[in-house]
Amino acid sequence: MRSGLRRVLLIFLLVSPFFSLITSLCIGTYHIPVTAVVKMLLIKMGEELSSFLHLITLGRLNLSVHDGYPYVYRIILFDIRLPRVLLAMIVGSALALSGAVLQAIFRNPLVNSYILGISSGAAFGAALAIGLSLSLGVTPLAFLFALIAVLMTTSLAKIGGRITPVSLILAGIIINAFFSALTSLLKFLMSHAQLASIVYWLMGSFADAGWGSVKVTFPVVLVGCGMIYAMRWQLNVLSFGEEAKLVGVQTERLKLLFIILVSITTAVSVAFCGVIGWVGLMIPHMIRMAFGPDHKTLVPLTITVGASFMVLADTLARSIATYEIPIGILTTLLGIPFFAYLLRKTGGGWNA
Amino acid sequence: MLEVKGLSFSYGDFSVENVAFEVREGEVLTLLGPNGSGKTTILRNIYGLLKPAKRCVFVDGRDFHSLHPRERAKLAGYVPQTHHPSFPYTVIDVVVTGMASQMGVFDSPGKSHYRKALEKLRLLGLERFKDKPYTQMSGGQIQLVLIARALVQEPKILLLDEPTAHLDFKNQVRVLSIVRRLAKEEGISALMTLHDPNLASIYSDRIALIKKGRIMRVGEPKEVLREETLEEVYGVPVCVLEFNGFRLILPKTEAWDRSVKEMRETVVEGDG
Repeated sequence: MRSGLRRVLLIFLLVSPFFSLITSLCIGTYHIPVTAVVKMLLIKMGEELSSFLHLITLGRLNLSVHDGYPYVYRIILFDIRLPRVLLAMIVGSALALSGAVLQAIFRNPLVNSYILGISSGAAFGAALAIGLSLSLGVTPLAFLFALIAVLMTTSLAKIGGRITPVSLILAGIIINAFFSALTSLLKFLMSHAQLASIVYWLMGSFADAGWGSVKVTFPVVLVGCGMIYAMRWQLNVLSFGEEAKLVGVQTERLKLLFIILVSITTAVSVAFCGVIGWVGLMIPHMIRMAFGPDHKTLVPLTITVGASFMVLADTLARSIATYEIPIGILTTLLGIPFFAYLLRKTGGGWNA
Repeated sequence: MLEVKGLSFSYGDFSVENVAFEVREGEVLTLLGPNGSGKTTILRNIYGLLKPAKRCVFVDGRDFHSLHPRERAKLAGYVPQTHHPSFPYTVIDVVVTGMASQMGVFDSPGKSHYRKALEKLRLLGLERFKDKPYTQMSGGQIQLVLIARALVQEPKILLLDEPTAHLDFKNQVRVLSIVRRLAKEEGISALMTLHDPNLASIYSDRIALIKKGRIMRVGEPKEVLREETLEEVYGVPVCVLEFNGFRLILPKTEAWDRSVKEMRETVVEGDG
C-alpha cells in the first residue's frame, strides 16, 4: 500500500466510529433520516449544555432549545438506539483491544481474552443467576465469575513465578473446560424456559442495552483502554518475550498489569452483552496486516475499528431480518470469511 | 570494568563452580568451550537471567545484580543466542525497543529516540534496511539488528551469547569484526561465548577456556590455545599452528599427520 493512501485510510479509520454511530442511529425498523439524526444530536447536546449552564449559573442563564421533530423520534433515538449503539461501541473496542494486548504479551496469534476463561466463567455466572431465577443477578454474577475464572487461569498458569504462552493456553483450556462442564450441569437441571434464556444469553446480544449499562461499562472501559493506550509502546517491548528483560523492563509485573486491565474491561463487556466471539481475534489481525505490528498505531486503530465494527454488526443484526439475529453469531459469520481471505492472501502477517 | 568473583550455580546434575575472571575496558574476552560446557549458563548468570548462588558480579565496582533492571540495561547490553520473532516489526522499531530502559511506562519513543536508533544502525551498516520487516532479513542481519538494539542502551559492555551460532562464514566474520571494532573504537568491552577455537583465537584479546562449568585457563590466545589443553577440553586430537602471531587450530587427521611428518623429513634432508 502506498504511504499516502495508507495515511488517508488511517485517518478515516480513526474517525470511523463517528460515521458508524450516525449510520446506525438512522437504520432500524423505524427509519430516521440522517439530517434529523444529526440535528437532534446537536440539539440534544445544546440542551445538555444549557441545562448545565443553568445549573452552574444558579438559574440565571436560561437558554431554551426546541426541536420540531416528532416525540417518537426522540424516544427511538435517545432511549432505544443511542444507548445500544454506545454500548456496542464500548464493548467492541474493549474486546478488540483485549485481543491485541494478549496477542502481544503472549506472542501468540490465537489468543484472545476468552482464553483466560472469561467467557466460560461469565457463562457459568449467568447460568447460575438464571437457574436461581435471579433476573437482576445475571450481569453481576457473570462479571464475578468471569474474574474468578481469570484468577484461576492465571494462577494455574504461573509456574516458577512466570506465565509462559504455553502454560497460559493450557491453563485456559483447563479452566474453560471446568466452567463449561459446570454450565452444562446447570443447563441439564434447568427448566425449558431457563434453558432458552441461557442459550440466548450465550449467543450475545445488545437488545437489552439501556443507559444503565452504558453508565457502568463506559467508565470501566474508558479507564482500561486509556491506560492500555498510554502504555501501548510497552506492548512492542513485551512482544519480544524474555528479551524484554534485557532492555530493562520488569516483564512479569507489566504483563500482570495488562492482564488485569484486559480482564476487567472484557469481563464487564461480556457481563452486559453475553459472549461475542471473534472480534478480539479478527480486528487486531486485520489492522496488523494493513498497517504493520507497531502498537503505537495498532492500539488506537484497534479501539476505533473495534467500535465501528461492533456497531455496524449490531445494526445488521437488528435490521436484516424481521427478528433480531444474535450478534455473536453474526460477528463470527462476518469475521470468518474475511479472516480466511486475509490469511490466505498475506500468509498471516505473522512470523512465529 | 566487569568482575566475576567466584560464580557458582547448579541446575540438576550440572553445575558451574567458582568461575572468576575480569573483563577490562575495551577488551574482547571470549568464553570458549565445547557444546554443553556451560558457557551460556555462565553468561546468563552474569547478566542475572539465572540466579547464581551468591552475589558475584561487579560492574565498575557496583554489585550488578542488586541494581534495578533499568540500571543493569544501561551498563550491559545482552545479545541472545536464539531469537524467536513474534511480529514483523520494522528494523528501526526493533532497535528502538532497546531504549525502554531510558523511558517511563507511559512513554513512547520520539524523534530523538529514533534518531539514536538510526545512528546505531548506521554504525553497523544497516541504515538502508530501517523500514524493512526484520523478520525478512537473513540470520546475520538479524544478529546485527539485535546488536544495534543492545547498542542503543549505550552500554559499557556487551554480552553476546554465541553471536555466530547460526551464521555462515561471511556473516561470522562480519559480526565478530564489528564486535572487535566496537571494543577498540567505541570502548565497549565485549564478553562473548564461542565454540570455535579459531574464531576465538582471531577475534579475542583474551580467552577463558571452559570445561564442564569450570574455567581451565584464562589468558591471551597464545597462552591458552595449546594442543594439550585443547585436546583435554574438546576431547579430540588437535594441532596448533602459529602464523603471524595468531594461533590456528586444526583437527588432527591421519592424512594431516602423515604430510606433516613428510614435510619435517624433507626439511631435515634439505638441511643436511
